[in-house]
Amino acid sequence: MISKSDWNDIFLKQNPFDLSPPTNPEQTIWAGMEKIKQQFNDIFNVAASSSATQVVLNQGPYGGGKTHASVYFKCKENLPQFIENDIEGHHINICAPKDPGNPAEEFYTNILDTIGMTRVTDIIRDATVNLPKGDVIDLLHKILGSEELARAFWLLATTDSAEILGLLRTYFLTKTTGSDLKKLGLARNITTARDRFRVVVGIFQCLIGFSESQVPEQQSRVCLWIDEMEDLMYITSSQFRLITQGLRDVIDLLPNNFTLFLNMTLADPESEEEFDIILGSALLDRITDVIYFPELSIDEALQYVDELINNPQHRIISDQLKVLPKTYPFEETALKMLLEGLEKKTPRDINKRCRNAINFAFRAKKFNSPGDGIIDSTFVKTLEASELDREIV
Amino acid sequence: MHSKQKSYLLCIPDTNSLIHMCQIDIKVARKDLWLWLWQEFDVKLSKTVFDELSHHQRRTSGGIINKCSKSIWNYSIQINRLNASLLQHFDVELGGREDRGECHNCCVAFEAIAKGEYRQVIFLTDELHSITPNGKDFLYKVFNTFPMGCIWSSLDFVIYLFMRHRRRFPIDVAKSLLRDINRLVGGKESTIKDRLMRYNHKLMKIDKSLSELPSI
Repeated sequence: MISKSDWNDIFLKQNPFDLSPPTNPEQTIWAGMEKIKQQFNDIFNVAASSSATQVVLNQGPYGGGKTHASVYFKCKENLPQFIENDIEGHHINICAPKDPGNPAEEFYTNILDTIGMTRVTDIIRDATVNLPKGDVIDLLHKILGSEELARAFWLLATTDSAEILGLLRTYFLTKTTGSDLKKLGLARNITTARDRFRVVVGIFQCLIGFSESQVPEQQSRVCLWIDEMEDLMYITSSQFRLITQGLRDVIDLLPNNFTLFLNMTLADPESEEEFDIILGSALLDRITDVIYFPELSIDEALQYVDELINNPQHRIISDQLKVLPKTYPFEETALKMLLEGLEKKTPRDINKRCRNAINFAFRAKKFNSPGDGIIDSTFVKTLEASELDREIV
Repeated sequence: MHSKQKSYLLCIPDTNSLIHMCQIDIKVARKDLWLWLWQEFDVKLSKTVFDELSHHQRRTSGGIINKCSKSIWNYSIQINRLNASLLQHFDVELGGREDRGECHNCCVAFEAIAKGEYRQVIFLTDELHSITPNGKDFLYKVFNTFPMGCIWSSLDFVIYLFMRHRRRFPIDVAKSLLRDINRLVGGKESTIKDRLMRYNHKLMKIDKSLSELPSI
């Protein structure tokens, strides 16, 4: 067990090398990988200057940083400078459905659970509060493609009754009984995959707003990140069609102020043919941008580690550090040696190797007091690659 | 000299491939996928495979059980002697209990060829571990040693059908079939993915190359 004081000995507040993606966007660090960051910034800059909907495919190997990016850009402060002031962005992160039984329902529930029904209620109320009932019902009817769904939205936006709100929660999240439907004054439940995707479109449109202006500053943008899209390969062809056509409908029905990020794990930059197999032509035809997360070169890997350990969130500033290498607790040549031997230079594998090397150094009592001891080439040579790349040390 | 024209090719399907085909609800030119086996080939199978199939009635249909009951080949080879002989001369051991159906179908293949009833066989199985070169690959070794024909999976059969009936078998239907069968064949996630990619790639290449040959 490595204690806090042990980390202090190497001028670190905590272990900077995480193996699982972060969960808190505010504490997520972007280290190295400048080209990829710039590609994201370009996409957000386009979003700021044009209302057009974007569909971005983020593709790369396992551990390449796709999920990390989806958490990082959820934080407003991490977006390019002028966007954070001008546009209100709503980032919703979910995983692709895996349930072979009813993936459309899983997708729908994931979105509603992620946003939360209380928030959904507020979103619909805020979007419709200043509009007359007739206009709202007509507008929602047009978006949702169903008058019954439009009525349900209207009810959610206007009711003050705790009982009706409770029934509506059940109506949206599962299924209400016939007598409860009567109480709500609705003719039917949300039953089909099409209904579910339409409800999602309705909620997103309420988030975006109903202004007819095409000026981005006057509307919000919804960014939906769907992780692990490659899992769609494991569902049946009929369910695959439902999901991909449903997503296509979401894109087509939200022609403005919507950005869909699809994260897909594939080892190599694949051909269009392979995207077609995984995403289907319905989605493939709508992709506007592709960001590829490649494995890092040795220089990029060194820069990545440097920026990670020297980030103020991790590094303890001390005068003693001035006489130590920038890559402390690693000697620069030792770090290079460590990373050069790495088969796949993905951020995850780099983290694993660096974390394990530090753990081994602690065990070997390489660090006795702050700044005393370093991971040098001689020590790295004593470590076996199989030990360094183990998941648990 | 036979008066009736002889079929040269025999298809010997295994239990899992028949079950997988039954579980597919996509039709090829308005026919169930499994029915196409009998449409395309002479089909014979061992009594063991038939019994295994009968035990899985919930995953099959009356139609296929009926068809298979009329396609049983009662071979006279003694499986123990065949096994001993293969082991002695070729260091090949027929599979264990879990591969019983395949071992008995192997006897059908040996007899069909050795007795001259058929020239070649298509051995249809979705137990991919027994046909890829690794530790449990007895079928691969048998077919690699005895030139009796080839081993197909249900995925290969879909590709074959597509090639044969491309004009009434749209490529999107073939892709859906590959996706669903591949899922049923199973394996590790990376294996499922790689296999789906490989077969789709093959399908698309066949489609492209045949579309350049309008006379076919």
